[in-house]
Amino acid sequence: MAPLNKKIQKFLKDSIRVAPKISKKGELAELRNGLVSPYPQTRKDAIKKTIQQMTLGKDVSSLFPDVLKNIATNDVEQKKLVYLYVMNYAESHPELCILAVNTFVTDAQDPNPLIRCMSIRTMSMVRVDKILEYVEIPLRRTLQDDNPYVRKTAVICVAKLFQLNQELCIELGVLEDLVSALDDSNPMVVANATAALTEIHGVDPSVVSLPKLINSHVSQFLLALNECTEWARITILGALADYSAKDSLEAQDIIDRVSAHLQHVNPAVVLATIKVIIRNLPQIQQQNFKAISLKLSSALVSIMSTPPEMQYVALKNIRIILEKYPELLVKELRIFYVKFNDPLYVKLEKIDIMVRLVDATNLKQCNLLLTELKEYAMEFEPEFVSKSIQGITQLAIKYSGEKFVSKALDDLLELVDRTENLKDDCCIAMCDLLRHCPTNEKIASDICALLNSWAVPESSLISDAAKCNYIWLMGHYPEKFTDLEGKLDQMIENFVQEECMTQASILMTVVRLHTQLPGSTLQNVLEMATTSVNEIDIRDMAMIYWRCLSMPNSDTLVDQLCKSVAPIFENALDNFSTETLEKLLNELSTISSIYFRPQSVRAKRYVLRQNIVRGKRMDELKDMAKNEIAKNMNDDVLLDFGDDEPKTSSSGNVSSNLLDDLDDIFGFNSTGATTSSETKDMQSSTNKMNTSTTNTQDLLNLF
Amino acid sequence: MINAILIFSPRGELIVSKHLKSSLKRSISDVFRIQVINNLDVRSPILTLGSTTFHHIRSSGSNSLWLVAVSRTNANSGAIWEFLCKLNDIMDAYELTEENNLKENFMMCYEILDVVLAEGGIPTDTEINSVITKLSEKPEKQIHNTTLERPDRLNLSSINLPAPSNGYPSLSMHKFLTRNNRSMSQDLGTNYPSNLSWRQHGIKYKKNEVLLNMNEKISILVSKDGSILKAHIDGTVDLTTHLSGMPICQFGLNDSLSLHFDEDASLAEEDFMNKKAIPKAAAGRVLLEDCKFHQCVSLDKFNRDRVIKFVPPDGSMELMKYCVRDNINLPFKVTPIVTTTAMGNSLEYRVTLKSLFPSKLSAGDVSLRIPVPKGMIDCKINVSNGKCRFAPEENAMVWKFGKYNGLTENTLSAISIPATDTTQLMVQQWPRPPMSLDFKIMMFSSSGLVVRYFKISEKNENYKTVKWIKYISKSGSYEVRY
Repeated sequence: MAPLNKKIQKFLKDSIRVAPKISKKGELAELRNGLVSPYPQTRKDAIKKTIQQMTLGKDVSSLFPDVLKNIATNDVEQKKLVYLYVMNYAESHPELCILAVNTFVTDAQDPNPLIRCMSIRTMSMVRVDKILEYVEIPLRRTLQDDNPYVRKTAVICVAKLFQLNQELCIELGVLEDLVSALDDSNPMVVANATAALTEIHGVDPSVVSLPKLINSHVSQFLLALNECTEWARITILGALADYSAKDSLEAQDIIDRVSAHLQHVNPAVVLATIKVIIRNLPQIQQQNFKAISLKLSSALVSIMSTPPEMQYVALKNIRIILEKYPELLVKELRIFYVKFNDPLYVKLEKIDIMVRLVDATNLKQCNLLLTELKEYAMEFEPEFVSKSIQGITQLAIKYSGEKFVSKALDDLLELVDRTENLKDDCCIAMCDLLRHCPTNEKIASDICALLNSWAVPESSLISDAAKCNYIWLMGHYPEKFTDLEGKLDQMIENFVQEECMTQASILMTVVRLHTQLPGSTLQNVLEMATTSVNEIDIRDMAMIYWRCLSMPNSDTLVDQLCKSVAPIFENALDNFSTETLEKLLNELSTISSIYFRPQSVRAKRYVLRQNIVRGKRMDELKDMAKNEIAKNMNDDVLLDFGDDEPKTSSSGNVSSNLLDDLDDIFGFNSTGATTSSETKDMQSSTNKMNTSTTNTQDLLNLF
Repeated sequence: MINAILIFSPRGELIVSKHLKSSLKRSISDVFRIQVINNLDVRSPILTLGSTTFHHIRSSGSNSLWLVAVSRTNANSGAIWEFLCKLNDIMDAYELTEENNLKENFMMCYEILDVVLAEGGIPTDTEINSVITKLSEKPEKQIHNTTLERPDRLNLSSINLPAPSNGYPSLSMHKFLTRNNRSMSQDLGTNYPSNLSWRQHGIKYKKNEVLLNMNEKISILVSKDGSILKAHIDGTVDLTTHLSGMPICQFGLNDSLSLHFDEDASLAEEDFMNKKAIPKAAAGRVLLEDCKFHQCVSLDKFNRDRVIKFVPPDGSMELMKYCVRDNINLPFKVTPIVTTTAMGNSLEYRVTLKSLFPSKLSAGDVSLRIPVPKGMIDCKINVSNGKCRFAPEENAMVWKFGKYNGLTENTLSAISIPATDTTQLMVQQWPRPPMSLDFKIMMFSSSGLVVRYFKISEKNENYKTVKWIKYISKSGSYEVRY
């Protein structure tokens, strides 16, 4: 009877929950009472509440010692909760955690693997460099643990500890243990070890020779690949993509082994696989190429039925891959037809891909695409419409037959007729077409007839490029315009307000036609260009013209300058340089591949800004901890009196904090700063890539 | 890889922020709010400022949250987006994609993030079933596609096992979906990770059941002249398993590749096939363009022998995805004739809708959305069947049928009535968005794909299972230009 009685008593004691009292001392005191309560269930509730407060952003660090007392328990759930609490403070209040370090070390030998994991994880998060002395032995032990789950956690912890204290890590030789984890029998451990090594390599490339390690472990990677989770597969595939095969046989083998993953449901895995295959593709023998490219195209196509963001990455990558292997997706044009509800960024990319994809020798396909693009040009989103019109021109120039060009032109004419505000884009597009076949009289007269019919051109054209093209056209086909002088005069009136491309174009046209125009116009323009324009290039240009005109045999000289013909527009699509292309192919699916900007060669070492407590002895740390706790307790009381003071001071800080952070982003460290300037460079270079601009620059380069 | 995860309310209020590496300041969220949420011009889902990159997606639903991943290296962008999508799915299962729910229950969200992201911001496990087992609460709503309407008996046929003699009539179906007949020992042992990360040891059910759903979404784009610009079917095979132990499943379809392989081997499996299970439209062989499999399927084996073999995770999952582009059985044909009236400021519609599937079947939830230009105040509509109303808020007419029988034809004729200030030009310049059709047909497979066999083997000799199969064809984007 007695033991039963005892059991009942124990059960009652365990399940008693003491209702929290409303006390005057404040919430923290109340929680503290709960944490030291003799009833286990009450203590557990109190821990839960503490964690809830913590997540809300309240500082409950003063409860640290009390929470920590609860760590010695057999109740796994409670232990988990305590660890959750400790982990939160491991980063921000490392000195507190050092108090518990002995408990962690004991827990690292717990029979339960979950507890072993948590203890090693927590220890690796404590930002005190001295902790490494304590961690060393448990870390070694967990790295050799029987349970793969523990090993895979321990492996990640090595990377964290490395960031904490590089020198000691090297000295203790835990990195060697990490390297040997690459030979582990469990694929998850291999994957995590790879991830950890990659991270360490990113911090300091001199410590581990990652490429060498990858080279020597390719077979392990290939084995592990089939048995791990999707995210681990991405890590391993990423490592494989850094490996260059020794010969065509090996390359073929790698491709054969990874290509099954093109069928994975996770599009990120598919992209990572594509990257590995692309990397090995140049090495394989020609007769196998066909089968692989078939697989690649169907994999790329399948990503088109994923969420739009994923499609966006895929489209950007397809653009890169197509440049290297243009024949890859030729039969899949229809997949890229724009859907009505695609987001704009996907639509724009799709048009670009379609124009690149289309087989320039296949008239039927080109016709189909032309009809499709025309359909898009009738929609309402302005960017989408301009891109489609640009696409029409690019397509016509790509196919290049005069018949096709005039067909595209007819479509453009119809579009202008239909919608008023397309004049800008159509004007640029038509001039591009004309540049492609400058000898075709019919095209020229059609275009000029249309432009000539616009009553007030300077108000119907808005963009700089469009105006520039319009004036260029007048300069080249003056006989096809009626009232040329009047139209030019309208343009010249606003000369000073125009942007520089239009100014340059006006200047050239006026010089070119100076024999047909009254002398005052020329004089007027040259004067304005040399005196009231800010752009140095325009001023220089005007000066040169002026000098030429005032030379003795000015007519022949000016004729020579003006009669030179702009080079024929052969290709309206921009390409990467070979070097950039190769780099981008190695960086598929990363952020840099989206911006088409390969990561700079300089090893990018990102400096971790962490508040690591260094060089403090144990007792000092303990004192710090005590002070910290005491301080926070005072804070608590202050808050309870409902003073408004702390609040106002914190709101005052917000704006300055925000500015700090912007600083942090733009000028985070030296590399950060260079990146942002690189971004600007990149933007300007993309601008240059823009076809309309290229065309105009050609025009400007004429003289 | 990922330095921080931020979740904002639709209006830009920060609800959840989890920092994984301490190299970011907390106020990074303000930067995103200013640069993206409050900036209406932003059109790209990715933003890079200096060395910091923000990837964001909007959660599904009308009131969509912003899910943001912050990273500071040249990270794998594809993986980040896939992770965000998966996170969204998991949150959706817990109904956390609703702003108010998330605010009340944000602890759950932190718990999820703890499970799915490891140290250093590398995703660990996003498989919804196994994530749920690691969390303290189970989601209230049924996850994934198990929220199926109860299949009625006529449409459902069980394959393989002799269903009638088994003694489980259709009633068991209800139990299967509602009652939790799972008994799992809650001791620590189950928390031990098994070799297969997606399935734990020690799962036990009183009755072993499998429900197989073949979902097909038909997308088609028809041009003005009636020719088909593109047509494809996105299909998924969803599987809900309530199986004990560590069963190994094998699964076969009538796709041309695996049939080809089987011809040499044995045709014994054909015996398992229950004739009733084949939908009417089934064709001989189907060419699957590309199949994607759940991570539990051993891809290696599929590549070698064309056998789909796997140990399923407990609960429901999407076993495979496929795409079919040839020989599609189109269930509907829409023939629109839209002309401008003599006055020039209104339109006249004549639309014929014809069903092409067998007359024994019927489609449900059929609705045809016919766009009308802005500036129309009403439409005079005449239909041969079904109900059609003018929805001014959508600028469209919606023609609905509760049930649409196979091999029937219906017509609609309508004239739009313009407002007094509607000009000819407005009608002329109207971009004519395509008409779109929605429908759902049970036990019809537009691709002609059918399940040939589904075998389950376990170490235990007395391992008996009940299997159910269901075919559903739905509309994806079924669009007709005019």
